[in-house]
Amino acid sequence: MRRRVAVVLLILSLAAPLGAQQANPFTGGPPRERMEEERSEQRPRGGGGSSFALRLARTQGELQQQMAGFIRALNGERSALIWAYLLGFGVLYGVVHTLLPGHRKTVLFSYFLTEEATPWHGVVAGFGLGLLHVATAVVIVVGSYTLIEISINAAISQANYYIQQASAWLIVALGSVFLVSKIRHLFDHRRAHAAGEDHHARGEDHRPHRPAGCPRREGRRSRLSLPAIILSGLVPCPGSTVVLLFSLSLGILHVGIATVAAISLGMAVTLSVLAVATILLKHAILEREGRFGHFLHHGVEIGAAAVMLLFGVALVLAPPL
Amino acid sequence: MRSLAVVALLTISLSSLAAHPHVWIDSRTEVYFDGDRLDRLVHHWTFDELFSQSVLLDYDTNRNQRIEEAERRQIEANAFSNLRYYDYFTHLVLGGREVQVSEVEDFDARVEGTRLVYTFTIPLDLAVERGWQRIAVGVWDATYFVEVSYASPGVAVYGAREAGVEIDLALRENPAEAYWGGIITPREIRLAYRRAR
Repeated sequence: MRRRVAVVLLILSLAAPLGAQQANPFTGGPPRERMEEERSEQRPRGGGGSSFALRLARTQGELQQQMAGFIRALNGERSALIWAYLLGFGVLYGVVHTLLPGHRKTVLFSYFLTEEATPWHGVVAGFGLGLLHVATAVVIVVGSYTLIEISINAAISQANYYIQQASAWLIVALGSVFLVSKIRHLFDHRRAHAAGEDHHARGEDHRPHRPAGCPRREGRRSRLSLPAIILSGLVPCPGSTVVLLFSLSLGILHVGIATVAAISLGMAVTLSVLAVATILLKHAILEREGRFGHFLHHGVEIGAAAVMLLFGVALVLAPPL
Repeated sequence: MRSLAVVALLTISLSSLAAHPHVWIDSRTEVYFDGDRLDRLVHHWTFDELFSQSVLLDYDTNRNQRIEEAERRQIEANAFSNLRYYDYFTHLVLGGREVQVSEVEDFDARVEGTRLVYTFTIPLDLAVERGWQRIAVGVWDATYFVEVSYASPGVAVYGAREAGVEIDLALRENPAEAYWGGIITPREIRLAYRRAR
């Protein structure tokens, strides 16, 4: 039943009206909020904010410029050393780039807090998302270049816009399905307790594979849900897009594709580590026994599903790049 | 439960951060005095190589790494004028009042080495008076799509001495305008000027 609901929602979400704007300031039309509105709030901010993200962002910028240098060096020259540097920097760039906001980390995090999964699922999700994120960029850039006569930058903006909206609606759909399912599970659980099945009194906890006293709807993790989460990564990686455009401009697209393959590997590593850490966190939460463990278990699952839903709504309303 | 709250806060705050930069600009601003008027600001923006080449891929149609007039017009129409929605990343404060930069003039694009350079003028036409007057000009993109750094030097003033204008020039941080979740504190050019004679 749940799988059927998920399929219907998925189809509905992909067909949903798509409406928001571009975010590239050079080509993308007006931003959602004009700058003067943002500036009118004159409250002092800053100070105390961590500069770690900023340092990451700047490191990323330097890595990107380094890659540009190596790609340019490979234009007309064959050097195994430069190739090695380029691919190495690509992997590093993928790791750093993925640590910065975006790349569906919120979805991954909330998904693995909501659903039960093994670390292996985390690795599959990380690699799946990383690969898809970069592959989308390749398809869009190469597709725009070969099929479309108008400005390639404009074509890419256009394609990104629809894909991001579709992905955002998919996340809304998944968040809704998980939320409804987890709330239903909570009620089923309560009903089971009311019927006198008190496994807590028997000292049983909420770990997977416990006795049948506690209904385990979440144990039947839909086979559709993990691929759907990976599918939500169907947004083109902006970092890979610029690298591909750059290599296209030099007429050495194959170098660009090799570079973004390295980037996707680095990205997969970061996403997998994050996913596995989340899964282990969830397992640690499930270790808690007694009523508090119960409360924590349901709270985390429902809360994480709600976060995913809210994140999807936020993306629909104001899609990031 | 507390861990859940932390997780929720973390994810929400992360998702509210704008995307990280994809374009880098080295910015230099020239301030021109003309007679007894503060006439104009001229921005020179040198882009990073990746963005430069992606623009050239589209608009350097004859692939000669030079921008001819027809190409310049295309770049202006398709990869510059949209910045009007962003006030051309220019945060201008005249005498304590924020002023929206809605019109710019004399857009030019050229290639220096492998990098694209945009130049454009913001007309001011302000009378220079005997008392100190102040303007602040900052260049930053609050959406952080673009990271703007000031070139070295980031600002130059022309025509002040000839016009008998005394100036006081500084590049200062403005914490009140911190962006990207308050992490990045932009710097702005602060210029005080008055008629010296």
